[in-house]
Amino acid sequence: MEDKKHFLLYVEQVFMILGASLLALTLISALLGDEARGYSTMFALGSEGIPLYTVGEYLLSSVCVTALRFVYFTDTFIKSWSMTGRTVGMLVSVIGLSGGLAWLFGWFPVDDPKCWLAFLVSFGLCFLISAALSVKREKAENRQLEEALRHMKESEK
Amino acid sequence: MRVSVETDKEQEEVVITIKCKERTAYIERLMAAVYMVDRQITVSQKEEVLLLDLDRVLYVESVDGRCFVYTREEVYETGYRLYEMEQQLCQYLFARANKASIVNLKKIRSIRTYVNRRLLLTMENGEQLIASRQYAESIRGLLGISRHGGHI
Repeated sequence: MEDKKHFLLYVEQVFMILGASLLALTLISALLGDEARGYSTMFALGSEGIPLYTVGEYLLSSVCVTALRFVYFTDTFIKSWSMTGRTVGMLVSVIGLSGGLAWLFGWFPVDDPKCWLAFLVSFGLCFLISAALSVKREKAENRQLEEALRHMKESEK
Repeated sequence: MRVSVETDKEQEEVVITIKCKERTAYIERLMAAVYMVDRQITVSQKEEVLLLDLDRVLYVESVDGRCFVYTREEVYETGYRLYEMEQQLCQYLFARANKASIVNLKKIRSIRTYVNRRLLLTMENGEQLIASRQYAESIRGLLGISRHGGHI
């Protein structure tokens, strides 16, 4: 039962990442698709949308990122790393993974430094937004836990 | 077992006497259950058996099959198994934190989220315990917080 629940949580994670990625890609495609048509296989259809094979590639990417989250943010493989170490490890692995997949699927010309710069800037931006949201959520949850604990102690007096 | 109650208007203190052939583990459990009503547990330290107020207990931990009770300053041993302690203590706001320990929720100084939906519990003496994901959900529930962060 517990295994099934864990599996469903991983599937949920995969589709959350996939959904967010495809939403961002669709927006970029609508805005810049025609200009990027020759540069990237992701924008082969220009501003008309995303090719089906790109959806499949992003699904593979989401599965890999979820697997990396499992590696870095559970104690299954890594036991004593600090939160910072885990975050840095995750960051480096995701950049490496994305670079590998970009080369494999032709998402952008990997020999063009400008493309790498654009990739790193957009990746960094997404990472900062997601990190800021995580920190905000964690702070809110900690505040809620402390508040509930204080309330419980007061009601027991 | 037969239970009888004798009432006497002159009697000032409640006295419970257990009559038995010999003092067995069953009798010890019976005594512990009675003490528990007064929020006390029987513990031992240096071969001396003591009664300890539950309000002094920070957490209970099982190490190599032996069960230890931690207060701010002292560590005591108890003859009970962890699951037996859990059964006795759960009504007094004690909760299982992980496979090896039970914490007194009233003695937690601070509580924070930790990697993989676990909880980092800092006790009043500064010691830190990690509540595993499974038991962290129960603790959240006891505090009135649902899995997704809302109040129950």
